[in-house]
Amino acid sequence: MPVTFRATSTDAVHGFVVDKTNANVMLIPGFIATFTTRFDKAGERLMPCHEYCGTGHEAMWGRVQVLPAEEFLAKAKSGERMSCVPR
Amino acid sequence: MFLAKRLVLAHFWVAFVAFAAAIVLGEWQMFVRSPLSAWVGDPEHYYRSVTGHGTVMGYVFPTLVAMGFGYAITELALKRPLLGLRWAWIGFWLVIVGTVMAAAPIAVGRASVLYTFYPPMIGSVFYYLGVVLVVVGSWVWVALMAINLRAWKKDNVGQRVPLAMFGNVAGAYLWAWTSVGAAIEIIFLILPVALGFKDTIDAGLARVFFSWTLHAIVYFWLMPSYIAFYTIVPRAIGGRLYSDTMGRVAFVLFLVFSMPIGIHHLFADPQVGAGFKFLHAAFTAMVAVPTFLTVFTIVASVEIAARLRGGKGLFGWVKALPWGNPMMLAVTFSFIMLGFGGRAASST
Repeated sequence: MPVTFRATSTDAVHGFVVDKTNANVMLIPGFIATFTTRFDKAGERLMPCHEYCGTGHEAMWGRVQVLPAEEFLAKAKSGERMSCVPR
Repeated sequence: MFLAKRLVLAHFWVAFVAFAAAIVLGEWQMFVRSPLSAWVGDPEHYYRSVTGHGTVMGYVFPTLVAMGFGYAITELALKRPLLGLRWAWIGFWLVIVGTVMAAAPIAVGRASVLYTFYPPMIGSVFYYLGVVLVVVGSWVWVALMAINLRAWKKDNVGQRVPLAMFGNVAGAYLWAWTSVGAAIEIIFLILPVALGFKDTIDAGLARVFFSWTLHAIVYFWLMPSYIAFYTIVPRAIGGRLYSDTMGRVAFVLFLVFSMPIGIHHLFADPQVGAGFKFLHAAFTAMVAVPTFLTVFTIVASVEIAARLRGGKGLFGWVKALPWGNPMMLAVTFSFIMLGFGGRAASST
């Protein structure tokens, strides 16, 4: 199912990319980047910042978990924020 | 008789080659155990070095090459002394002062903004002023190119401008137009914030102004090479230029099509709409044309030289070229690099 991202930045220009997917935008303070894309394969993807944003840019990355649609919707049913961090 | 000579040498050769390898490993240990390793591996120092590298490689080095080459062409192609020599030296010193002024804050880590310096990241005022001085120094060169050409035209009414000077002045005008984008960004958007007069900045507008400069600057960098291709290479290898008119057409096409394409650096940006992105993408495709023209014209000119030397066949003429001539190798390697770079650029 398609996923819509709406993102911005508050401090510097950052680059938002989810490795091996179509998600790739610039996050500019004062503007909201909106795009919709599909994730064809479930699994873990790397999400680094790809625009130099100051010291620490090299550490600005995370992992994105792409879940099958049913699994995601089941987790999201409670309407709370979701996290893949084990409690 | 020393019969065991080969045996002894074999032992010593292997021993000392192994020694050399082990010394290198020892250097590695010294590096890791010394404060140098932590210093080199520090990300903050790395960003300083990236900023210094980019600023010199992008703004200082190619500008000085284009300026110097341009002054040389003005005297050699127009066959008259350069007008405004003192102004030219002033322009040179502006570039030097600007470089030092920008290098100082970079070195101490107060301007780790990279040569793109995208706000809201703000560095030291002196970094931006330094870059501005470098650009202003180059504008002195632009003015002198125009003035010298105009004086030559007045004294040579109706005559065709020598091709080298034609390309030179086209490149100078291209740079004058191109540099305005970053100049506006620095002077009107960034400096007020860097000086503390303003608290806010339009980061999207700054990126758009910078993109104005960011693309066409590469053609400013390219011009000296293309001028050399058209005006130095053909005769240096014993041939002649296939078409002088093609050269002029290529230079004019660069001047026109290099301008409205900067937004191809902003395809992923939210502040520019799809309409302008499409327009700039279309123009970007068109700016490949003068390069294709140049590749054809220069290869044709080189082929002329080869066939004059007796080269035969559809491709066999390549063997007849003066491969011992450094100019031949230089242009060949240069074309190979252009092929890689151009193909990479057009496919992204």
